[in-house]
Amino acid sequence: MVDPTPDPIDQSYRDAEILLTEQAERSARRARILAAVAQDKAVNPMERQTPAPGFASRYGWLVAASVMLVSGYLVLKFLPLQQLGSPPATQTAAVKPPQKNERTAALSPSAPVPDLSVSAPAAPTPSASDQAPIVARGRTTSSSKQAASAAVPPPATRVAPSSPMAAAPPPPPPPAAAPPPPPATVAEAAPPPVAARLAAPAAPAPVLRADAAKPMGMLGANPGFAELHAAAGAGRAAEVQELLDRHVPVDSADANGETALMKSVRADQPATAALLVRYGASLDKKNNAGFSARDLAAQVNDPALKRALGLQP
Amino acid sequence: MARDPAVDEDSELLRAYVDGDQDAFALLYDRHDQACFKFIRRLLGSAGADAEDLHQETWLAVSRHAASFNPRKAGFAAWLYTIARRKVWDHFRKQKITHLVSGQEDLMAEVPDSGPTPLEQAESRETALAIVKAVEALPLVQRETFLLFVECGLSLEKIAEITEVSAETSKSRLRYARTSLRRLLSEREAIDG
Repeated sequence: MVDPTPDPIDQSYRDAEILLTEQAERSARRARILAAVAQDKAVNPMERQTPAPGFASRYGWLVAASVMLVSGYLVLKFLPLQQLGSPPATQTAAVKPPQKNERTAALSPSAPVPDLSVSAPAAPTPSASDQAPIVARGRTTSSSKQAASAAVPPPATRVAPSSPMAAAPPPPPPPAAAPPPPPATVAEAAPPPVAARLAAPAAPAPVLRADAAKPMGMLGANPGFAELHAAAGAGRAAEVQELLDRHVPVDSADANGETALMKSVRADQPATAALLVRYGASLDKKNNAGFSARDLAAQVNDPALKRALGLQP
Repeated sequence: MARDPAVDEDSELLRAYVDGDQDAFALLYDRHDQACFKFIRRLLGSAGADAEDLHQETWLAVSRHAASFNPRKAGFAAWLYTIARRKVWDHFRKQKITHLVSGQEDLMAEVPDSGPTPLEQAESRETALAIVKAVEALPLVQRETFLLFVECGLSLEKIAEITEVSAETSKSRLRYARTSLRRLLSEREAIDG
């Protein structure tokens, strides 16, 4: 089914939401939730790490039943033979219950009963799993509010210093001493972590000379375009700088006609907005709804942002 | 049909998180938190004070069940909003909120598109508040369809999947939601003079 055409009321709602968005509130929420997730993982790591039901969990009962059947069969088969083969003098001993150790020793290769108990994973207790969100969530508790407010600038680092969320893994070192591989094998090199790759692409991209000559608004398929928009909206100035230095077109627009500068302005990110303006981003280019970055800045109404855009001394 | 690269990136990020890349989760969160939070908040309407809690519960659920996410079955956004929607409906059920659940679709009259939007006419905080209040006043099924389409950017097929109705029904709900919004806002304009 073809989606209905965009309606002006849709954009009105979007703009209204932007106008009402409180960035400080959003940052605090981010810190709180990421800390809660990290804490939840620390309390209850097994639940997450357990993969989707695999062979062992699906057919574990079948394996256990088979082992028991085989064990029973072997017991029935070998026990009478042992009794029959024993000398008459020891018949009284054969009447006695057989030595348990001997039997289990004889049967152990074909009856790996102990393995069953070993292979069963220790499931986390429900109380442990339930505890995490209660401890972490607590929007109304003062302690969590303090934790959230204390964690605003680099959220996870302060709230959960011991969590793995706190320290961003460094990008993998490039293969330093390796001889220059042939072109065909370059792509086979170990890729960097996904987050690092998507958040801050480190690999130099080809210079987009041809794209730079294209008219604005027609560059949606450019490499680096999505990263530029994401970095601009998230206020990652260093990444924006890097992408612009790689000649990603500064005024490239998405399907809604939104440019990176508009993303910066909407998200109230003066640093990236100033950078984009310095690289020649247009303040007057309009999105599909007819709003320019200048219009959006007026809606956001942040003096710092206006100063960054040169709209206010 | 060409696949949206952002959809693949979401799945990739979630997979990376399952594999131990903690930054991937933060990046995934940053990609969707705004839309997800607004979806929950507007869907809750007058019960919006609980939006923070439900938003957090949604992301905890994403974290806990990340390993069971199957990108071939549904995209990450559809999965996320299915979780968020379930949280809200469960909340309504617990709070015994039922008066907004009814469809009321056939009661709405079609109102033609009337030129410039209210925000263009008066770009003010009051107008913005009036618009979001009007969204919150929509019947629940229309509201969730409108929010999933406009705020979350999902297709009608995806919305139909999440809300467990046909795509045609989703389309009707969206149309009625827009009509209702226009009516509510024009009524407000009439009152304000």
